[in-house]
Amino acid sequence: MAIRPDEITTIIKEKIENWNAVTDIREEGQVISVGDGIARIYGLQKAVSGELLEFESGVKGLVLNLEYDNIGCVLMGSDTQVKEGQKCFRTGKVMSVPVGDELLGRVVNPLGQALDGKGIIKTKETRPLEIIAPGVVERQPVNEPLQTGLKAIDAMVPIGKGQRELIIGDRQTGKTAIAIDTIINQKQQGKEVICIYCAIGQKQSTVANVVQTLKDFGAMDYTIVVSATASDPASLLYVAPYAACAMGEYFMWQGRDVLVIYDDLSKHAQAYRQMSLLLRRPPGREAYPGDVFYLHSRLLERACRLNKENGGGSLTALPIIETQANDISAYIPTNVISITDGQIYLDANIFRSGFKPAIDVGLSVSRVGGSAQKKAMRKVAGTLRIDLAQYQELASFAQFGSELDKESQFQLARGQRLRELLKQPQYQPMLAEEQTLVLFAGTKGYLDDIAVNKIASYQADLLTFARSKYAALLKKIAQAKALDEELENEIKTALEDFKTMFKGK
Amino acid sequence: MKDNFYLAHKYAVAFDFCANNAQEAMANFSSYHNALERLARVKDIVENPAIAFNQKETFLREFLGKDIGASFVMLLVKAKRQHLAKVIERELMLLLDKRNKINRAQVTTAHALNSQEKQQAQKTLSEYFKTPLTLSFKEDKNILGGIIVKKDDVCIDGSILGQLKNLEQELKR
Repeated sequence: MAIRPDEITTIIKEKIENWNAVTDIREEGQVISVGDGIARIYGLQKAVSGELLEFESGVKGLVLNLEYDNIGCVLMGSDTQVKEGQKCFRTGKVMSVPVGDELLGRVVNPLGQALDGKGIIKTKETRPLEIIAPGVVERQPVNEPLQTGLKAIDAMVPIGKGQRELIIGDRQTGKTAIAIDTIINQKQQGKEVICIYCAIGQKQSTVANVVQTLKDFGAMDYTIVVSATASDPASLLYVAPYAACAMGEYFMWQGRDVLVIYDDLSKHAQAYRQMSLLLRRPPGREAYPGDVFYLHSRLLERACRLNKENGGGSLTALPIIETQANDISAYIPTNVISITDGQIYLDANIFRSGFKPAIDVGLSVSRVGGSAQKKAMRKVAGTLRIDLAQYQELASFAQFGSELDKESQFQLARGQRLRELLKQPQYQPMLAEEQTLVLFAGTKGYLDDIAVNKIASYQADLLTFARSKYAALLKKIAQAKALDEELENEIKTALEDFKTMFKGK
Repeated sequence: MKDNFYLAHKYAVAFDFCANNAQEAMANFSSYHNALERLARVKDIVENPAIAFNQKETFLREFLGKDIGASFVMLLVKAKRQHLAKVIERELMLLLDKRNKINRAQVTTAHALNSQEKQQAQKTLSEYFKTPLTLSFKEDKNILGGIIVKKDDVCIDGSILGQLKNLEQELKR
């Protein structure tokens, strides 16, 4: 494209001619010290906590400490551009982020600026980063399921729209994989769920991988990625989940369903600890400041399901916590466990034994999701948790080589098959009706005479068979409000039909 | 720098407490430390670490006199905090202004204002801030034209320089 100097000159002339000179009335202070992403300012006596400040160099700062003779603020950019003695101005605004449909499909930083090289994002609206969560009057109970597409979760730890379900586990146990699968699965659902993936303190390469995966599966169309990577200042890591939540709330108040994934809140707490220690706030347990509980509780409390009068939108939160050596009794994990409505606990040993997703059924729980679970699924998976728990107990006895009675042997065999059935490869979320069909086969004993190593192929073949020959049945299961006797009989017929075919192979 | 303000404030409160006539004592203190700053030979002696404090004290007693302002300068020299003098002076002035309910504002213009203009500025600004103001006037050719008013943290920038800077920002956008 050729540059035309005349055109540029005309634009500049026009701008100068139309320039409306107004007198600036501002409150200014002076930077007295700066370092480690923290600046102290003398003056600005009327500044309020949480207010956005602007430095001469254009860098923004967030007021966190109001002290006797100075203000402590965190810088939202490089501290090399802020110098001692520089002027600093009040903006009179709290921090806010751009929100809107324009953000869908984009990768942005916590300030809403594009990171994907696709140009500036021009939104019509902004929303404050920190707001008080909707009150009881504006909410309704969680009663609609949010399908993750993962059998183990949808059957045993179901998540409802508006719920806060923690995903917790050691490094490399598949926490992010569950989150990504859940995003991908939203494509299969009838009603669109807007997804926001918030990466906090992760490697840039990891975020790039996630974005690429979402693109490959066509999930970026309804997803926003908010990225504050390990190389960003702690202040950006601190605001990232609030920014993601604010972006989600915009859609929620429009009556849409939103899923926000905070990956992960351990690093978020660490970033806040860094800032607090540099601001000389007193350290508490594990050197975290005293308000670290409130840091997460005020964020997760914003997840909710609005009532009909307020549009009926929802914001589901899936925070992720990384544990060290399976220790869920550390400070931050216990805090977040107590805040959320349940947790999906991923175990490193289960992961290493090849069971993926590596969910520990005993430690995982969903406190409100049960009432949101689809009735058909609820009936089918009702005994699944108990069956698996009994199996695990028996399996540990069986290791000693003790002789087992027939009943126990039967339970062991059933448990092995159910466990095998719950295995699911990554990026292959399953529809709710297909899950119901497969789990029905498992819990009603249709797998009892199938060898354990044939379960995976049984499942794959069953689904192919059902999609081609029993598509109407699948549709019926999807639409069914409950699993009545008639529907049960139809499923049984289909399974009997398939069994003869599968055995014949 | 952060500690300077805090420390200076403490010194200012102590000085205000000790002086019978804080206004007069402050004026003396200002003239003394300005003299120390101005006279290179005296400054060299005061800042020379090789000279013992009692020698500096004898010299300063002859040079400065015996009032509280002089004692305060000597206290700062003894504590090696003479660099705080300017900040202490400012803190002291703020303390006295607060006690005497004086609201000060500084008016900066590119050219000197005549008495009529000063009166007009006094009237307009007192009305704007809704309080009687004591104005100090300063000339600064760099602002090119217009006026800059500074009261506490509030800065009203109606200068040509400020407007050009705003225009620059607008063109960059």
